[in-house]
Amino acid sequence: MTVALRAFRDELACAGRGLARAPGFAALAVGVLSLGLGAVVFMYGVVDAMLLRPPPYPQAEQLYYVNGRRPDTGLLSDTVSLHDYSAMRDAGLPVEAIGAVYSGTVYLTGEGPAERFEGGFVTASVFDVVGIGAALGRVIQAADERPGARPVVVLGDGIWRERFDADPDVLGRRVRVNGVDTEIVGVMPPGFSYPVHQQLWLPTRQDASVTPEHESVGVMVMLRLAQGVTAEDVQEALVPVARRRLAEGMPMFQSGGLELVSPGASWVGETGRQLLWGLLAAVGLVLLIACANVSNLLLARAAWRIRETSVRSALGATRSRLVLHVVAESALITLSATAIGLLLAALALDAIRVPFSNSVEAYPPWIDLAIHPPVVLAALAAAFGATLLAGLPAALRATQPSLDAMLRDGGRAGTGRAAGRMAWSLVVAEVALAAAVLGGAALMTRTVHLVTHVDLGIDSGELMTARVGIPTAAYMQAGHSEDADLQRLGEFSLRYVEQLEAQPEIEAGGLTQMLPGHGFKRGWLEAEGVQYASPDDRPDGGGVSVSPSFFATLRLQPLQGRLFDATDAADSERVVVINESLARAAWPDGMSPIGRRLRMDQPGEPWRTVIGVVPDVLANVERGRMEPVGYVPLSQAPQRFVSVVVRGEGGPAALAAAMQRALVETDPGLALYWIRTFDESLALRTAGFRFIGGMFAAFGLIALVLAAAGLYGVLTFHVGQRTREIGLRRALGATDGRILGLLSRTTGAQVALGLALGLAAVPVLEAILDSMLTWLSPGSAWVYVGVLAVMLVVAVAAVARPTWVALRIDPAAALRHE
Amino acid sequence: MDETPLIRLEGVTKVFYADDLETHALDRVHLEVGEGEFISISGPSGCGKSTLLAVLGLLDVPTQGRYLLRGKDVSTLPPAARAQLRNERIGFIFQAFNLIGDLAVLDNVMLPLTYRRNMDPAARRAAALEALDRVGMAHRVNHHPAQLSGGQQQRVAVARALAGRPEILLADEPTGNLDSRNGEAVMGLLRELHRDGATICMVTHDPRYADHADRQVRLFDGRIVDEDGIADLAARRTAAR
Repeated sequence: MTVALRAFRDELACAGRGLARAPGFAALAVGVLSLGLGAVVFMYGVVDAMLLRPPPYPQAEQLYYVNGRRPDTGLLSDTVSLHDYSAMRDAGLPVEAIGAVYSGTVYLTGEGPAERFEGGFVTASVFDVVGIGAALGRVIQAADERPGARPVVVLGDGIWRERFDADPDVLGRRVRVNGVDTEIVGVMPPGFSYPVHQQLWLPTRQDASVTPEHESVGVMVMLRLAQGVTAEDVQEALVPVARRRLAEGMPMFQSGGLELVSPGASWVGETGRQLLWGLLAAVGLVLLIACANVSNLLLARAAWRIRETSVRSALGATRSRLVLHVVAESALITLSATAIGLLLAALALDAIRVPFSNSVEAYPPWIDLAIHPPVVLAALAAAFGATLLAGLPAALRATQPSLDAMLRDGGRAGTGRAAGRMAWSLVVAEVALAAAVLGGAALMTRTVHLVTHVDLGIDSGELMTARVGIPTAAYMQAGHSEDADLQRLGEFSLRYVEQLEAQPEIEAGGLTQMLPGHGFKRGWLEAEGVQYASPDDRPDGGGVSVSPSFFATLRLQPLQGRLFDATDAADSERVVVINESLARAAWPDGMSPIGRRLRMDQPGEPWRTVIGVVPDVLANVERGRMEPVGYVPLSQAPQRFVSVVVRGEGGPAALAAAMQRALVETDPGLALYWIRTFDESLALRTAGFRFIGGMFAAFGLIALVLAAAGLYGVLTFHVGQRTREIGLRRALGATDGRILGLLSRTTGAQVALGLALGLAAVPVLEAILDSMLTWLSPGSAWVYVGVLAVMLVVAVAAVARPTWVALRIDPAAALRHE
Repeated sequence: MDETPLIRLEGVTKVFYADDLETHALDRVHLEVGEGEFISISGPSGCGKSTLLAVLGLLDVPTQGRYLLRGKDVSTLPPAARAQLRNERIGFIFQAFNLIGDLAVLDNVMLPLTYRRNMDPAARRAAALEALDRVGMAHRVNHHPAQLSGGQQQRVAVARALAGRPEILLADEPTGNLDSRNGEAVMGLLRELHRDGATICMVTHDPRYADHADRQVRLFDGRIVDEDGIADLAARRTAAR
C-alpha cells in the first residue's frame, strides 16, 4: 500500500470516528446529500433506460434509427417516407443491413373471434438488422415482399401461446389477416416485440417505385453499422442522400434531413429527449444545492474544529494531510449518501415503473426503469464530484490552522473572513438555485395543470370510447375506384352507428376521426370571399370527420343552423358544422356564418357550406385552449380508422361489450381496441405531461427542502457562533427587536440576494423550456409571486428555531459560553 | 565534543500586520538551548511567550533572523518539511490539553504517529501504549477525553508528546488549567522526563513551576529582558532574604 493510500485509510478511519461522535451533523449532511444524489441517480436512471440503454438485441450498440427532420415543426420525426428509405437503401451506406418497418392494426380471424393486434409491416432486411431469427420456422424473406407473393405472417411468442396453444405444428396453417388468407411461416422467440410492442409481422407490400410520394406510408428506418464503421461515418454518408432528396423536391431535406439516433432516443422523440436532458440538468441544480448545503455544514464544522485542526498541524500533519482529513470526511459522507441515494432512486424507479409503463401508450417493453451498472457508475462519478464540491471550501479552510485557537486557553476561532464570505455566498447560491428550480417547476406544473384541468366543453364522465380500424383488403379492393372505396367506408360507418344505437345499453353513440382533446388534422382554413393580407392571417385550425350522432352523444346542441343528418350523404352538397372559435376566426365581422363557405388549404379539399355552429369543444388537450374546428360528415370524408364514443347505462364493461357486439354485427372480421372510458383515454394522452410535470414538481420540492435545510443549518451555526456576542448585547440592554434585527440583517440579505438572482434566472429557464415545448403556457406574474411567497415562507420557517434560540439566550450563561 | 546547541535563535523578529497596525511580537531575540536543558519562559500577558513557543515549535516562521536546530537553519524550510520536523523532533504540551474529543485516549496518543510515513500500525500502538504507561494512563486507553479529569487529560497530552520520542518538549502553561495537586503531578512528570534527558522549553506564569527549570528566560515587549541560570537565581533569592 502506498504512503498516500495508507494516509487516506488512516484519515478515513479517523473521520469515521469523528462522524460517529457527531451523529446529528452526520445525519443532516448524509440526508441532504442523499436527497440530491438520489434525485440525480433517479433521473439518470430514467435517461439511461430511455435514451442510452440499447434494446436487447445482439450487438445492439451497433443499431441506429434514421430520423427525418420535419419541415413544419423543425423537429426530428421517427418516420420517413418509403421513398426516403429506398434512397438510403440504394445509396450504398456503410452498413451491415438497413430495413424499414411501420406499425399498424392487424385483425386476426379464422380460429376464434376476430382479434386486433399490433402488427409490424417489415422489409425482410429488418431481421438482419435486429439480428434475431425465428424460434420456429422462418422470418419474413425478400421474396415475401414481391407483388403477388403468397401472403405470410410471422407470429410473436405471445400470440402463438395464447391463440395457438403453443402448437409446434402451427407452421403452414392458414389464418385470415386483415381479411386476407395468410400462411403462418414462423414464430419469433419470447420477448421479441420489434420495433416497439409488435405482436406479429407481415411483409410490407408498398413499393416506392409505384407509389406516389404523397401516398407513401411513414416508415421507421433502422440500420446496423458495418464492422469498423462509426455512426459518424454513416451520418456523413447520409448527407448526399439528403441532398439528392432535396434535389427531388423534398423540403424536409433543407435542414439536413436525416439523422442517426439510438433506438431509445428515437422512441422518446426530440422534444422528449430535450425534456429528459433538461430534467437531468434541473436535477443537477438540485445536487448543486445539496453540495452547497453540505459544503456549508463542513465549513461550519471546520470552524468549530479549528482548534483540532491546529493541534493536528502542531503534531506534524502537513497541509495536504489536513486537506486529506476533510476530504476523507467528505468522502465518507458522500459514500453513505450515495448508498442511500441509490436505494432511494431504486425505490423511486420501482415506484414509477408500472404506473408509467401503463400510462404511456406504446411503451417499449425493453425500457427497464432500474438501476443498471452504468447508473451506478454515474452515481459514483456524481459522488466523486460532490465530494470535491462539498469538501473543497472546508478543505481550503483546513489549510489555515489557527495558532491562536490552539495556544490560548478557551480561544474559539470564528469562521475567518474568507471562509465566512464563502459560507455567506454558498447560502445565497443555495437560495438562488432553489428559486430557479422552483420557478422552472412552477412553470411546468402550471402548464401541466392547465393541460390536465382544462374545460373540455363536454360532460365526459359517462362516455366510453374505443378505436376501430378498417382493413384495406376488406373495404378497398384492387380495381375499384377510389370513390367506390370511400363509399364502402362511409357505408360501414353508417351501419356501425345503426348497430350501436340498436344496443339496449347505449343511449347514444357516434364515430369520430379523433376524440375531443386527442388532436386533429391541423392546417390553414380559408373563408370564401375574405381577403387575407398574407397567408399567415388565415385561421389556423383543423377538421374532424364525425358521424351525425356524434353531436348528440356529446350532448352538443347547435347554436345556429343545424347538425348533420341523413341528407348529408356522400354525393350531396359538401357541408361543415363549425365551432364558435372557427366562426369568430373565419368571419370576425360577427355576421352569421350559416350558408357561407370555407375549406382547408390542402390538396383535394373542397369548399364546404357551413350549415351549423356548435359550442367549442377542446380539440387538442396539449394546446390547452379552444381552437377553430370544422366538423365534416364521415359520409363525405370517410376514414379507415375511427374512434367510437358512446353514452349509456350499465357501466364501462357493459358499454364496451355493447360496442363490441355492435361491431361484430356490422363486420365479424373486425375488433375494437383501445377500449377505455373517455377520461382514461384523455389521461393517457396527458400521461407524459403529468410525468414530466410531476418530476419537475418533485425536484422543486427537494430544492425547497434543501434550501430550507441550508438556511436552518447556517443560521443555527451563526447563532451558535454569536452566542457570546448576543449575550453581551443582551447584558447591555438589547431588546428582542434589536436581536431580531441583528439576525435578520444577515439572513435577510442572503435570502433577498438569492431570490433576486434565482428569479432573474426564471425567464431564462422559461425561454429554454419554450424552445423545447410548443405547448408551454407562458409564465404569469403569479409564477414569480408564487415562488417568492413560497421561498419566503420556507426561509422564515427555516430560521424560526435558531432565531427563537437566539432570543432565549441568557446573558450570564452566554458570557461564560465557549 | 560537539558544542553546537540544540536550539539557537539568532536575532529572531516576528512582526504581525493587521490592517494598518504593525505588532512586533518578537524583537531581535537571541536564545540558545542546550541538549537536555530545561528552560522556563515567562513574562506578562502579550509579551510574546506564545509567539516564541510557536517559532520554537516550527508552527510559525520568523519575519527576520535565523532559527538553527542542531546547527541547521530551519527558519526557511517549506511548510511540509517543517511539519515533518515537528512530527519527528518536537512534542507539544498545551495548557488546554488540546486532546481531540472524537478520539479515544489511545487514538489521541497515536495521532502524531499516524503522520509518520513508515510506521506500521502495530508499532504506533506499541509506542502509544508505552507512553501512556509512562504517564500512568495505560488503564484509560479506550476512554474519551470528556470522560477524564483535567489532570488525566494533561497526562494523556504528555503521553502524546512523548510517544514520538521527540528531541524537544515544548510546554505552554502545562499546569495552567489544573489544580495545584494535578499541577504538581504534571510538573513531577516533566522533571522525570528531564532527568531522563529530555530537552524542555516551558512557558509558565507560575514562579513555583519556573523554579523547576535549569534556566529562566523573561520576556517583555517581545524581547528577552532577563536570563538567569538557576544558580544565579538562587543566589539572588538568598540575598533578598
